[in-house]
Amino acid sequence: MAGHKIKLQSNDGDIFDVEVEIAKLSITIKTMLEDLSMNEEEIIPLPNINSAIFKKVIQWTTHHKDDPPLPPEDDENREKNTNDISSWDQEFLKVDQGTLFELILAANYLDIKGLLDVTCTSVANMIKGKTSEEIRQTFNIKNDFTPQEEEQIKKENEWCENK
Amino acid sequence: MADNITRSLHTLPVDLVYHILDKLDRLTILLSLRNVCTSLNTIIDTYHQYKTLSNLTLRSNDIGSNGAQYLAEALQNTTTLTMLNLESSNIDSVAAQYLAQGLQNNTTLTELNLHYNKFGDEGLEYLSRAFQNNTVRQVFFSSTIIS
Repeated sequence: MAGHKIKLQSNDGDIFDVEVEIAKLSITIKTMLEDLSMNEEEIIPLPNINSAIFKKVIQWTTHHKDDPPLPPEDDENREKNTNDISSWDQEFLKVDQGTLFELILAANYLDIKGLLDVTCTSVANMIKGKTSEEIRQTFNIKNDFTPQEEEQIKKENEWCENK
Repeated sequence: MADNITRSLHTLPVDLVYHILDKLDRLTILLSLRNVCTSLNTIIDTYHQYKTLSNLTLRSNDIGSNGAQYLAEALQNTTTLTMLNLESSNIDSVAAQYLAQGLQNNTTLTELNLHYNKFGDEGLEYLSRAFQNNTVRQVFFSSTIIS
């Protein structure tokens, strides 16, 4: 059935023809097709995903459709493999932060583990080696501690900051 | 997306922030992500890996007596930490005294690495007194100035 396509609809109404094999990299879609025995002629709505993000997701799954399945996650390899993002993925993830976070949400909703992993790793890499203040700037986060809390934090951190 | 919030790190659903935390080592979480904002702190405080911290390596961190004071407080309260590595951390006799205080009532730590420090005989005495009462079974302190 190679090349067989299904129709998926984003929340802005666009309909995408996607190869079944590629669409099934999303466990969510795979489940819909198999367990709920949805008719492959039917249009499957994806109410949580807009067209721009869905195009990116299709681009990623198309490139990764022949990847071997990921090794099962355990505590052993959880903290390794942190920095290694393939050069294709690095290029793919050169997007604004809003898009990156939307991709994380989409990968989570569609249940595409590889995409979720690589997007989260990308955010983790943006965090590494930064101070709390640099992280606020990077992610545009407001410092919402009260002056008292701030004082307490400063006290707690003295030992590692006053070098 | 259906809602029009621009997503950022601190507005992601909690389980997705956990997923990002999974990609970071504990020291980065402790030094970078702690104290960015209240919502991230709340998430980190409930993060399993962080809550069940069992091995902590603070090697070459110039902890000194000031840091040791905070560590001592933590040692009194932790019920998960079993291995603490304070190699080359500028632990002098005052710092050793604080650590000893912290260890006095600690019942979980079993291994303490104090290689390359300078707490001397005095510090050693404080520490060995504390070790009599607690669960620490292995202590390393080669290249530490003691007589």
